[in-house]
Amino acid sequence: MRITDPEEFARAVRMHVAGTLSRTRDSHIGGGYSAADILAVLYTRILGLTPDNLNDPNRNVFLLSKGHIAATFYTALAYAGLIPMEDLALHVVDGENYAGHTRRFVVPGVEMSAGSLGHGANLGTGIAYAKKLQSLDGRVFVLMGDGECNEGSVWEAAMFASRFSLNNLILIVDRNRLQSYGSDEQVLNMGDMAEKFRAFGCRTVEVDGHDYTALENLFSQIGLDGDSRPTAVIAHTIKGKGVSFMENRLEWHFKSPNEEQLAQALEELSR
Amino acid sequence: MRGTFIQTVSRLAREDPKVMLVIGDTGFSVMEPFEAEFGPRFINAGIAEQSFISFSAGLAAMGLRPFAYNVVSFMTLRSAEQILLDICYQENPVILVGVGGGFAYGPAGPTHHSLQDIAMMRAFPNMDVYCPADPAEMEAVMLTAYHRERPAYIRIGRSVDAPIHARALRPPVERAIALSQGEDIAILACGTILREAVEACALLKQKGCSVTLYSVPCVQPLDDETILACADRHKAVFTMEEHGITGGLGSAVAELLMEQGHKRPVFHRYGIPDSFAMVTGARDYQLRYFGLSPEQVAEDMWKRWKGTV
Repeated sequence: MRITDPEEFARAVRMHVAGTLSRTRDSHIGGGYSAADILAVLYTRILGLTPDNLNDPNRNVFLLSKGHIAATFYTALAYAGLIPMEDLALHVVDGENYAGHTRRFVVPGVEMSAGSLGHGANLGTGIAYAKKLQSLDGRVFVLMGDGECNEGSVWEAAMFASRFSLNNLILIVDRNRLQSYGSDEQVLNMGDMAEKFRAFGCRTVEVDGHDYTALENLFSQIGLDGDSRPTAVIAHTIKGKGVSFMENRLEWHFKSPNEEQLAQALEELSR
Repeated sequence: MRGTFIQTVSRLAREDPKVMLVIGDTGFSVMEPFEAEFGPRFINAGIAEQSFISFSAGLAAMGLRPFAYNVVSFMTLRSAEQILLDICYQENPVILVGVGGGFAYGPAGPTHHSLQDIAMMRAFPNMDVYCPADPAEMEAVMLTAYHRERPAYIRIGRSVDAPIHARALRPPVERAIALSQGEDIAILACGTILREAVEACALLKQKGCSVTLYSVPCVQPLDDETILACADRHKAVFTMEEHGITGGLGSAVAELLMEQGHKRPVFHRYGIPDSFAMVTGARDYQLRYFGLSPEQVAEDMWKRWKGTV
């Protein structure tokens, strides 16, 4: 059931994910909802992925580095027409392929196995370099969490991408400001992340991660305009975006909606 | 073996435009000709082992054939998770080449010794583990790993390692290589300590002992058939490695013999016990310190074979 409008796409994804997670109780719903609009714009407007071009070396590559939002990602893949809708019922089912963190090869459209943070940006440098070396088209988009940027490896990737002028690499930071045990400020206080990436040699852009038009305008041009630098997009988002009792609440990193909460969430999301 | 490495990777790169060389800011005065010849197919990823490994994995994910060359201790320990998750788990066929196996960087101290790497790499699913002992084995294992198109770890010593095999070996190198055939004692050695094993073998022969000696350049997968045959045909089986005795060749052989061996030969693992180097020392000094010089090993093997230990 392919949806092509980003807003409709994001709404459908959020509603489906609420149902899935109230059933499987695997959660990470808050970080899924903060990223849902970014995924919606990428899969409806930017990536151009279809079941027929998933192995095309010239394709756009999307790497989900914050692999814990697998439930949201699988749902996006389904609404993008890359996996069957009925597969969403297999989330964390024993003996199936839809684990709580994404796994490459077993799910179409999943380009990296994720789960440990701070790997996607680095894998992305290799893929982006390989594309340049072989004069291949397509950009490499990596979606990371802001908490994930606590990992030193992220900054190794930023250094590397800058040194080797990987302007086909776009690092997207889902800046929802909540981690696992506390807020960004409480944990390591990443501060001005745009400034940090700039200092590592990246072009940086800040954007409202829930503004479909702004995201589309940005993603449709970035990395294609001749600037030699890799891009870091700081997407300011709200953890749990779309459901009032989840928004900006740390506990919804872990919690899954019960029946009553599910009903309320679906009601709010359908407005 | 560094010379053999650069010659072989250069040859492969001439034949296959997908072959790449990634270094972690090491190999000064060795890698320059490759860089000059192949330009952007050479990348110095800097002193950033996590990036070095995952970048290489990303190249492989796009169908390129990277050889990733770095110092063993830093590459295998600092970026163990990247090796496990980005190379092995995701089946990206990067060929890791680690320089400085065992005590190759002896005087540099324990930060530069590598005594756990074989154990770690052997425990990683999808990873083939090679420990070549001389330039001939190095060339052969590189070609083997390249043609297998699987994740691989090749552990070498240092810049200059004297030849042991008289002529080139024909790949693939998957079986143990016989250097001597005897009836009393079987010695299985991997990597640079093969040199000491050859000398120990000669000393045992002088004592009147009939010795079988195998080089085991491929530790994972192990040549089960040859090793089980050794156990069946000899009273004593000994392993030698420039590595901790936990998890390396000796452990692999012990596991095999306990589970599948028909006979229970006298058995001992010669390697470094659960210990860091206790004092400063070059390779030969450290081997002597841990009882691994040819004379010490031959004497100990003789006693164990005689049943007097």
